[in-house]
Amino acid sequence: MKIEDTWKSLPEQEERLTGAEIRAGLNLKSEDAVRKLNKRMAWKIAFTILFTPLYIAAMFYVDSWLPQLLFGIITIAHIVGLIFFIKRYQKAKSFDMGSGDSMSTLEAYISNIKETIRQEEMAGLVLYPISAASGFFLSLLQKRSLEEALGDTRILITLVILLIVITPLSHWAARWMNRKTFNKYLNLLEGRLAQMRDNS
Amino acid sequence: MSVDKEAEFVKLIEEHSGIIYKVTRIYAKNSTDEQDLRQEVVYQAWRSYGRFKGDSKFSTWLYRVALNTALTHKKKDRKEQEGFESDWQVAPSGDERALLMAHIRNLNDAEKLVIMLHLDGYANEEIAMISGISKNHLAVRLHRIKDKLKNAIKTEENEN
Repeated sequence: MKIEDTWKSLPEQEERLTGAEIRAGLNLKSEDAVRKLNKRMAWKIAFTILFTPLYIAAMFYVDSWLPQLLFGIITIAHIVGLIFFIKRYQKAKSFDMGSGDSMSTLEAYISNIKETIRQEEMAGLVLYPISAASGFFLSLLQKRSLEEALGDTRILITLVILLIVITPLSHWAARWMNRKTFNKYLNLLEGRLAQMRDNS
Repeated sequence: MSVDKEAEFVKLIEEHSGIIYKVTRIYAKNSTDEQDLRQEVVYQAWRSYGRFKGDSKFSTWLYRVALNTALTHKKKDRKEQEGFESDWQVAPSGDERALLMAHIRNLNDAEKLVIMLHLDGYANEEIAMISGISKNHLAVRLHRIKDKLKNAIKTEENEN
């Protein structure tokens, strides 16, 4: 068999999409890997929007400067994070299948998602101890004054231990969640990218 | 986009739908997946159409969209759970076209892309541009892929 001749004889002209089939595709609702990943990026925006007002409310609820400061930092971090996620989501959504070659298209898309996850996890490492400390003081100040709490060595030691435990635990949990959420589709895209690189 | 633009797009896709059929038939796991992938290619092409400035031929652009979509396509979970075996018919003895398609389907995704573009008459430079694979390696890769295909087909023909 001569491959080229056999290929040319494939009945291309018999197979044509009809206008109705094409129009049905214009408003497609089903999702492939890229759109599923985009949706998961959108969840991050939704969760950030959901939690930010809670931190703002907590800031007004407490009447002590330290937890107010901590909740203030978390609120600002959430607003910055929200802007970051929106920008990354827009970049992911504007992903154009017709703009570049297959390898660079895949690379650009994967890199945007992975970089978003990486930066989120790095920011988390700074925010988890602040969040833990704010929660700690929020509950503690129901029973004691801030001055009493700060003057008690046992309380400060407990806080330090809490931060040492909570920070890596939260980081691990965030990484686990990101793996669960993104890896299935990221692995698929990375597998295909690896095949392209093997041929390059 | 405007109604005129939509009509223009539909007409162009109708004319070039052979490209979509070829790509989806080779990349899809089975006939249901092929339908999904075909729709996905149309959807992605429509999304990107506004940015198509005519720098390349429409067919080249559509090929790029179809291949990029096929490479990012993921079968639905529902189907995975139910089993997602290939339901492509086994090539009947003597049907060279079916045999060729079956063996191209067995190649990996990058190899499929290279061989399809080559068989459709694209020059190595264009294949490199569409795929992102280095032009210097293409000739060697192409030679290997063709050898692989020929050997697989020959083996099967001898067995029958």
